[in-house]
Amino acid sequence: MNKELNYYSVKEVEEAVKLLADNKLKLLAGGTDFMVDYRNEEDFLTGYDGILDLSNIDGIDEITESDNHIEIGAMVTHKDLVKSDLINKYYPALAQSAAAIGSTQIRNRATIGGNICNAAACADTLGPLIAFEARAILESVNGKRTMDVSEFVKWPYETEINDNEILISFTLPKPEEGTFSGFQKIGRRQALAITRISLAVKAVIESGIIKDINLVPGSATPVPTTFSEVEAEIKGKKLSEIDSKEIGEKAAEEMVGITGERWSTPYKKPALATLFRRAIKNLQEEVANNG
Amino acid sequence: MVNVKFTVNNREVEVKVDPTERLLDTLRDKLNLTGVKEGCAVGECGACTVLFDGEAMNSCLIPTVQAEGKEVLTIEGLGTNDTLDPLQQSFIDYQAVQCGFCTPGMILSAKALLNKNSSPTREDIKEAIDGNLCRCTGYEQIIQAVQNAADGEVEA
Repeated sequence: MNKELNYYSVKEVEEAVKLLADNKLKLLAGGTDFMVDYRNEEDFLTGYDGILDLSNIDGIDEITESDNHIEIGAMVTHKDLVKSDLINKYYPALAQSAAAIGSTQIRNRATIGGNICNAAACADTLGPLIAFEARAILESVNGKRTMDVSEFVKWPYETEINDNEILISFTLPKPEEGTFSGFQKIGRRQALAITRISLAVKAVIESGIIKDINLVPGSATPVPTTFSEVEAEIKGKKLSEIDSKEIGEKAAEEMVGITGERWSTPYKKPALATLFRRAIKNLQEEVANNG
Repeated sequence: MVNVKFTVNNREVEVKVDPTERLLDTLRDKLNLTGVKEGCAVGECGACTVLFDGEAMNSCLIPTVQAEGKEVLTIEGLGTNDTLDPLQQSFIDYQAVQCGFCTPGMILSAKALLNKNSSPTREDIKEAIDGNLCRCTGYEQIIQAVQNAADGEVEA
């Protein structure tokens, strides 16, 4: 049994980082991973002096707009993302990924900061954040630092966050004109399914040409990453002329290039190929209808 | 131990809890509200669903310390023994209850929906109860019961 733990709940980020500087504290956000892990892992709180609850900190549960960016507070819930006009307007793939998570009850409680800091390989919001080139803002008593979300997650369940830091928010550049995005996932069933494999896409289309594209699969590699070989293959080409089947096959090869052959490869190769094929087809249809 | 004050079923309560105690355990063991059920304990079955400031949430995943100042509604706070909530009556009328274990959570998930949307579509209802497992009814009677309580057209 753990020794008695201190519990801290504060209103200001400043107070929170001070507490973190002086104590070894486990951070608590929405609790949906925390409470499961605490009960499953005997040493989950071993070595900690207490728990720092982030749920009452002012200002980190909001989505705000500035001229060139949208800032998403770390304590914004998946439900907030799904319902947000700003997110649906600028980052549909992120809203779609949030809608695909867990269940109504989980989406009401679980936060985007928690999803990224827990850093499961199947974390659904991670792919879209990387695709939209989001940066994570971390704060400690020494001040703030920012880094690309693509750099933030090092390995499954391992991030760059230091013991004295709190993830405060994400900033996402506003997409340029002609940006399309989408998110798809394959799970065992519709609700409450852990993602077997997913794909976030962000593409900038100008006069039918793919000016820029980010393709980020989830659960395909230990840490979601942009598939740069496939992207290079597509960039600069006419969208309507892209062979989606061929791109699917190339994506599957790129995955194996990163992960090597694994026990799950015979399943993941065709599954990923299908997601890429669908994503390109969806993009072609969407641009044909709205572009 | 931490003192936590919150409202349960419109009644102010104060409890002393360990910071890792689940709201589920506080409700059942300290407040004797055993309508809240423990199923999977990992947020997948929805049997422990309560309304937390009006939103459906899994009480097995909420540390009680986070309930400070919040309003919690359990099945015991819905209707009375003499006057059932229309949703409760509708679950009876449509035989949406078999073993009954999922029913409190199911009704609260439906209640959260109807509080915000008085004429939900079938899809709205399915989404609202997507975190509640029922191994008896096959869901059809439950969906019909919610449609009926919402004064919607009940699809046979």
